[in-house]
Amino acid sequence: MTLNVGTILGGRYEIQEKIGTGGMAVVYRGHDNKLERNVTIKVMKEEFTGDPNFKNRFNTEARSAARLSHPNIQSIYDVGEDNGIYYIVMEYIHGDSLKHVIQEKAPFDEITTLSITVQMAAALSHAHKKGVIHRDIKPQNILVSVDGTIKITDFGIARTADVSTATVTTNAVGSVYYFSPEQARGGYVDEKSDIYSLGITVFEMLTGHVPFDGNNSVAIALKHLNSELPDIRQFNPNVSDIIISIVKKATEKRKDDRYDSIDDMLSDLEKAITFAKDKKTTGGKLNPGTAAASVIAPKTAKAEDMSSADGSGATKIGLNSVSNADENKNDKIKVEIPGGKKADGSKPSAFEKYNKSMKISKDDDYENDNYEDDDYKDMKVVKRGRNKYDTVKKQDYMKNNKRKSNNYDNNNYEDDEDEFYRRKEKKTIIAAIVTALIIIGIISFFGAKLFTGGALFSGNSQVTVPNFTGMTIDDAKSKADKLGLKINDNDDEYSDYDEGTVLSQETDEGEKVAKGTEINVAVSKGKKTFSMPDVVNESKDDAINKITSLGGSKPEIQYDYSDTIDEGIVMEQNPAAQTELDSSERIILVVSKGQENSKIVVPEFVGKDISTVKSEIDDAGLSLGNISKKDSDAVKDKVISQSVASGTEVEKGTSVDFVISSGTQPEDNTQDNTNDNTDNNTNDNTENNNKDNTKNDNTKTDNDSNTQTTTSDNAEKSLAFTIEAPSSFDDKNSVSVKMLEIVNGNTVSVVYNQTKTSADFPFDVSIKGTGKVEMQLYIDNVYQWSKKVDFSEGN
Amino acid sequence: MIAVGKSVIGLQRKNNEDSIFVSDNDGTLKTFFIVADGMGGHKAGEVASSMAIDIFKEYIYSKADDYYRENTLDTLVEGLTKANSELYELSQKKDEYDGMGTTFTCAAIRDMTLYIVHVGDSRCYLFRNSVLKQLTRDHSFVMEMVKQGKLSLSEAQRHPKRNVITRAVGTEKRVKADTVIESLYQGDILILCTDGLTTMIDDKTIQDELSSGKNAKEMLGILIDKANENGGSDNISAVIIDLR
Repeated sequence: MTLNVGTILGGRYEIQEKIGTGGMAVVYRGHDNKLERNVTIKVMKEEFTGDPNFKNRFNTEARSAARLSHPNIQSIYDVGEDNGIYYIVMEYIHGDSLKHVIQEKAPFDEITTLSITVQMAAALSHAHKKGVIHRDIKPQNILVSVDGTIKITDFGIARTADVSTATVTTNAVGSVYYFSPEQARGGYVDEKSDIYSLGITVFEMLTGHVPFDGNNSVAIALKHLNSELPDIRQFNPNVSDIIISIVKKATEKRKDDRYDSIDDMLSDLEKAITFAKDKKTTGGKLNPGTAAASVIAPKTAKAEDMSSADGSGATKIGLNSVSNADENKNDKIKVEIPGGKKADGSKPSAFEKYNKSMKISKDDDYENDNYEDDDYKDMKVVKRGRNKYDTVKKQDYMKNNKRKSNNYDNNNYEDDEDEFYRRKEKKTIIAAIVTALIIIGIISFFGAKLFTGGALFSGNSQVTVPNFTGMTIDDAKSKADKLGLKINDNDDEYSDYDEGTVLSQETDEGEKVAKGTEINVAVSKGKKTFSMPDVVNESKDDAINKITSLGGSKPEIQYDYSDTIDEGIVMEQNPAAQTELDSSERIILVVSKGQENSKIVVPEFVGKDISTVKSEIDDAGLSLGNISKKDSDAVKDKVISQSVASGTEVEKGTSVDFVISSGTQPEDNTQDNTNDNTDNNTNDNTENNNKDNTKNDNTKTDNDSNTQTTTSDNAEKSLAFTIEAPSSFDDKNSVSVKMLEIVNGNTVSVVYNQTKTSADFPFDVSIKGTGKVEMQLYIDNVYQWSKKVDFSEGN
Repeated sequence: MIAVGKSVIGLQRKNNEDSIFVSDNDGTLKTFFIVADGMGGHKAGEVASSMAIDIFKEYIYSKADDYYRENTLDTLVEGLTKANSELYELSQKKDEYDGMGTTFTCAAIRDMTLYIVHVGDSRCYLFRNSVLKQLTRDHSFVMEMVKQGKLSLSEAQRHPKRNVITRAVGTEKRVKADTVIESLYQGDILILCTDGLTTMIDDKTIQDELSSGKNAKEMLGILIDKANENGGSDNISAVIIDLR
């Protein structure tokens, strides 16, 4: 679905022009009518938003991405939902995607490549420190602005798409080219996966090619798992050793062999820059005179932009990395003093204060976020300590809240960076606390009113029961005392309310009771929290027991290989030990699968020739078991079943038995072979992909009982094919008509190739051949049909 | 032969993008059953699965009986090819149908022989002698990786990309269909289903249910209920063909 120009989202963002379509979103240039500036608006595709959990994931991910603030990351201004349309409003960047730039200008020279890579690495360094993994680094997600600045976009967005909706990967979905091996395997994705994808991107900049290509997503994924990185110099002989080794280290198959962190890679990149600059100034072979930005800057760049980047380009790069280092240092300070200014002093085009009228959270009270940011300093402590809030802070919040409403009413926008940063950091949990506290505040207020009212009748022996709910137990007790009532607070329970808050009262407000009556109340014990235990190096089951017995949610288990940690042992935990958690929070444990390659997953051999199997089986880490023959429709020596089904995990060296075809038709392929799977006449009309015949229970006995019938006819016979006119001739007088013969699904030969005019159609073609083959017809190289034929039926 | 089919929205989806087809099975020549699981934004998924069935059905019925009898499998493949190209054209023409597609699993039965044409990750199972066997192979990223020996079945089941299919009807100009021919015997039960069933209940549960001796309609209802009980996160569709 495309939004029309002029559509207004969230009451302020006007769609102006569609500028692209990504895997998950449609991208528009838009205008923020409130702040009068251009913005980029990403509208999530409907097939993703239909998923019931999408909204949560979208909000979580977009918010964590919004916490990022770095000159090389496209800033997120706002996220929202308008009538089921989920959108992200971002900084507008005048420029082009790195993918386009690569397509037009790659291979890049070293300095250009390094300049871009350093900026990307700096961005990733910032994100990784904030705990945000991109998960989908690829040139399509990297923007090159007209001044040559690199901006990474779509942080974490890939994660929102992990839905049960079926989607097709085709070559059009670019991500698989940049997939890390662990992503291909479905393993644990972390910072090192971004490093891998960055390495692949660098390869592409240097060579103009992705290192691993194939006909389909599976073939490409397999190459990420198995194939060695192609030699960069084969495409670009000028690349220096230092850069080659950086790319290699970033793209190691095993995480342990890659850079430990993006910062390590960054420091190597900086060394490489110094080296490349020296090489250039000393008149090295490296495309002297090629300016960094003149290569990469999009066409729209002005001449002076390019020249500035040209002369000072290298210096700029140096500065970039230095400022990045500063920022890294300051990151820590920023955590403690959220009011601190942004370290590198650079300022994204404009900072915007979130404003109440935005539809960030139309449906979600938690996200109304109506509290003052100045007090976020205090809250920060709360956030880190999770739920350990106390009364003092509570009062602060209440105060803040009042002030905040005024702020909003006045629509008091300030161009305040700090505000911006801190606002991004808000956590829903804090909002929930605030909401709860407001309610408590209101209740207490009314409670107090009632109390004064009640006091008028204090002379009577009868007392009207006031409301105690929402008060602290101490306040409730002193109030009861004044009224001559007693409070019995034996009933404690965990709740979202602060510890000591009265949750309910057994005798309702307004009831008249005798003085001295005991009122039973339920008091909150606070949220059930526990300190996350250290479970690393414990067995999976022990770790789970430990966590659940403390009241934690059942951990989500992810598996990954490890050379050092035994199978079944926890390698990583998230959150870290000692983190205060409540029972609803998500816990992830990464459990070792043991050494990679110690277990073998049996591949599919059915449909392959036994000679192929013999050559492949060692590489697969398996050994060849018994081979028996059986009559079958299948081509002679083709595997029709294997003793261990594909997809089964076995010990290395396990032997696999095979049943292969004798190449003879079974005597009768209809009724007598009950319960035997191998008589299934399976074919794949285009790719000879024999069906799974993995269970071969009865094959051996059947094999014995079958009589060998030698009826195969090796004499050439001919068959006639009628060629119909193609649907259109596209104003051409003649077309090429080509027929291919495919034997065994892989041996292809051209058996007919003629040029025909439209008047020739339809016509018959007679083809000679033997045995069963597949014929395919192409007209002007466009596939028309494919037929399975048996020449033995010809004449 | 008794055949029953059912398609439900499940518990978490806003619309049902699955479509199924159960032909009259009173011994007519052209007896076939289809499950299709559509995808694409807005209404495109529903359109894709129902249109694919419609085009296919019309094509099969338009063929002369003799032709069909002699070229059963070819006719089915041709029907699927036709559905693919028509869907693809539509998706190219109309913006709202951009990217639409559908899985397609058709089982035709003629003279106690089963012919299957299949694209995507909907499945056809054969239940014979108390054993359930999957006759189709999912065209999904993870199952292709399994086939290559790169993922174990259990890894495939929890892979984040397990929902990604590698072939669909209508998403590209051409589609490769897998075909299966299998002899049927009295006592067999066939089940066609979309992934809404098989991601919610495992093969063992299906096998146990088919062993229960209940009638086809009851079994179908129970299987779908079980999938819903386990979360019903997607549309659920199944056809049971009972040859007992």
